[in-house]
Amino acid sequence: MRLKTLLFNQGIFVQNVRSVGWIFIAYLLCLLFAVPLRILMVTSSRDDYLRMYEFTGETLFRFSSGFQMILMFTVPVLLGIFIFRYLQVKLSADYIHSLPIKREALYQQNVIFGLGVVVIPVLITGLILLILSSFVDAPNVLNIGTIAAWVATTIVVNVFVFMATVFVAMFTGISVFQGVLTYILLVFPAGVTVLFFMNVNYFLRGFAVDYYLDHQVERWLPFVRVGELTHTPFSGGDFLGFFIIAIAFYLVALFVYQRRKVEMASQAVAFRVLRPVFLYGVTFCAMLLGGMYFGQTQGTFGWRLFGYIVASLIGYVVAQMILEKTWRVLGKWKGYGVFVVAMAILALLIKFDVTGYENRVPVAENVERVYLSDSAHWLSTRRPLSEHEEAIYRQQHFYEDRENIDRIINLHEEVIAGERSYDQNRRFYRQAVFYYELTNGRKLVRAFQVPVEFYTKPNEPLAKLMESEEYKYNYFPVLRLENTDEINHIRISSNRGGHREIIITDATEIKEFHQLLQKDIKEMTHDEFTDGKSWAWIEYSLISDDRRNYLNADWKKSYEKIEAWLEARDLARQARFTAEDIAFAVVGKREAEMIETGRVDVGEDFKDREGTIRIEDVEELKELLDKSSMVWNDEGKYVIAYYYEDDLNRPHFETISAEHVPDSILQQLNER
Amino acid sequence: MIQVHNVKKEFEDIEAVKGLNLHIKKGSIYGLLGSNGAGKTTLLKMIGGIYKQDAGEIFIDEKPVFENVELKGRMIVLTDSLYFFPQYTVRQMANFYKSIYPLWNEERFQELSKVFPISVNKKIHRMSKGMQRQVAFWLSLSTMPELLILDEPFDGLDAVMRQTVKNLLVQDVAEREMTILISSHNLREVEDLCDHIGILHHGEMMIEKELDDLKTDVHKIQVAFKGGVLPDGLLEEFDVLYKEERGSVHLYIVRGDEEEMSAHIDFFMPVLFDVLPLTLEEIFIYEMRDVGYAIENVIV
Repeated sequence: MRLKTLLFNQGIFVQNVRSVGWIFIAYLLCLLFAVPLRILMVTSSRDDYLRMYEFTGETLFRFSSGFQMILMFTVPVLLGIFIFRYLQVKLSADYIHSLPIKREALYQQNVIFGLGVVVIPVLITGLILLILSSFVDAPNVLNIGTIAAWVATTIVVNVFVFMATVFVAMFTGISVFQGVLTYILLVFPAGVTVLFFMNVNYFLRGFAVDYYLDHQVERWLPFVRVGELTHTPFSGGDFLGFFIIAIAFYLVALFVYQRRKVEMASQAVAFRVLRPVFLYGVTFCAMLLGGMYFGQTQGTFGWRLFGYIVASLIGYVVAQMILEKTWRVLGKWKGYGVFVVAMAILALLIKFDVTGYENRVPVAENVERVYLSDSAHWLSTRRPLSEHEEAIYRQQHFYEDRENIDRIINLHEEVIAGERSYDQNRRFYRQAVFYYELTNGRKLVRAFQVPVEFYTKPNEPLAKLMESEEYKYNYFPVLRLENTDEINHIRISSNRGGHREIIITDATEIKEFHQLLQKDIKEMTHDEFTDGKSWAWIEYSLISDDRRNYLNADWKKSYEKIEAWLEARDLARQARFTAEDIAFAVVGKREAEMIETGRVDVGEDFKDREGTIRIEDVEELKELLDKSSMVWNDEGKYVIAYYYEDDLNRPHFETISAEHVPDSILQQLNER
Repeated sequence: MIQVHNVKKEFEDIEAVKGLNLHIKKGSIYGLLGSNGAGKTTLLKMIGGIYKQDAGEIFIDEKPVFENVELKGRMIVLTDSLYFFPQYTVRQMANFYKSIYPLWNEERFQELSKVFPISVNKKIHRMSKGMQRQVAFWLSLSTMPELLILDEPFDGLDAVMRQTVKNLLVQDVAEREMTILISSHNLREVEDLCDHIGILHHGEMMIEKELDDLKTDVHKIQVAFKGGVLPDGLLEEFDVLYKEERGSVHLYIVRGDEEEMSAHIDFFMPVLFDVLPLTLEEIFIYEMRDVGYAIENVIV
């Protein structure tokens, strides 16, 4: 009897049916149109329907996927607004709360009714789908498993969104505001995290914003996760996550409802203690948004400061207007003054780095492993890496060698001591990401903006690092290949266009070549590493169980051993372009715009360009070929275009540094 | 039946009710008078268990009223603006009350349909304000409440219907010992109904008395003396709320025992001496003037 009176009152039930029953019917119709009817429409009009996108996945979310998603994020919100409308209107709020029903009972009954409206139509549709499965031939899409998954997923998302709306209903006294706040709540955790991290990044040098934000945050957006349902079904964790949050919403909403004052109907914020929270919350978020906008678009501190001030002011005024429900809030500026002072203190605390964040460098003994790279990309744990990716890419950036750890810590210290003002949005910069796994299980991550030359004109620790055996071992997959029996063949092909290619298939030759290449690589200095001078690509074709696998390497101009080996077999000239293949070359000063864009736009007209000279002498061509580089960095002050005998219309462009241009040519160039 | 102890309620920054005390006996009709914004509606909503007081206690039958389903099932609050579910007919609304109020009396509902000339199948929101008011009384009285809280209840009722409703109310009080708490700014309306009066001003209770006591306590007298000269010491020991001169006739509103006062005035041998009946409205105005709430002489 007690339970009955607690949970069910006929009068309230009838009133709910009358006021939101239409949502139930409309929702059921929408679902029927979106899925079962859609299946019937497609299967009855097309013979090849099984090849259509909708039928290729093992999920029912591909049918009218956009519409299904819209339903999940609108129907429960609409419903929550209508069911708790009585709270937000003064007259009805007074009336309902004068009735002999406890708030808890009212709440339970309304919530249960609402759950019925978002759950029962889904169940009905599921039943119809089950019936449909017996005479539509689409076993992939229509079976007990997919239907159950569809029903369970839709219900969980609906319940989650509905409870979010109910939760918000208790905190506000305006229905429109309830709707708006519900959507804000759904994006809030992700949004605030992005805003916060992006802004911390402006103040704390070395803050590894990409590491923290990389793919992590969008997981907190229900819209994103639900949008992925067309290809990734909910995992147990997803179900549990949505469900637990929904329960939390339910409990907190009940708790809050029992403490809510009836007279707060039509107030934007229903609890007085929450008014400052709302006011300063809006102001703070607006400030961060403004800072981020100008930080990303303009980049300078001045613009960012402008963004902070203007946006926080707008946020403050708007929040005041909402709270006071009037335009006239100009008299209430004192709160903003308090905010400015608090923010100034916060900014100073961060700026003066009270925790020593910026200068913190781990002690070498405590480091187990280090990651150093120009991006945090391979630290991401969002997507499991394939074995191949793990081996070829991720491993390259990790160091365990003690000497290398010392070098990296040195490098880190040098970066800290270096130029601070590598501000956002300078056009050319690169990143240096340091990631330490410490022996105590903790991690230390820092990311810095460094000049482009950081990697090309390195300081000593970086050069030593790159010359270290560990680095080369990780960087060159070729070094990791011990057993040459795994190699099917080795293909060497020119990387200067045209067709120059040899394939080594003989097992002994493969073995010889492989060992020489390993030696060449191990002897390579850092300068040679980055000079971009190479003759050809080397591709190992491996015999592997599943499918053919490849290893790649460059035939660099500095690799003397393999060059000699190839020359001895007269293979070199078949694998690369030589002076004999070139009709002539044209050398000219590299103009500013070429440096800017990193390429030559003049194309075939380059040979007619003023200030260039044409070289046809074989010896000179040989020298040029030896010295020119494919890297377009600042060192390459001269541009060289090779015109091939067999294709004069498409020259191949490379750069050459001033010191490497043969004197005779340099002299001629200067005379022009 | 109702005990209100030291109750406080604030809205935003305004203190609507400040440390208020109130006592209402079972079976009485208590009229709550007060200036606009005195806190009458707030007080009624707190007693009705709609608003929760910020401080103090409200007991009905010795039990706190807030969130008390048992008590609320035996009382009805009729607020100044009525609320009905949209699109409901009288019958549907009656069914709702039937499901909510344990003491709902269907016979009474049928009986009352003879009193209120309204079809049960008519949609309430299409009715006039007065008819809606009638429906509200009809439904309320059918729940057989032990306590009826009425905020400005006669707004919109015509004279005949007003009298009918008053008769119904009095009848219930007489037969079932129903208690009524009624607020009004129209004092004449409640004068003939109430037996107790409380006057509220700025959230505080100014006077709380039986109406008869109040009336015997304050008097309006007209006196005139020979030559129009007032004798010294006239009414010195009495609390004069108001005085006015109309030619040689002096008008006084005086608080005090009537017999004592008559003897006192007779002593000065007036040429004219009348004790006039005092309306509730006059009591209200003079009492309020006492606390600085006067009718402003507005020149339009």
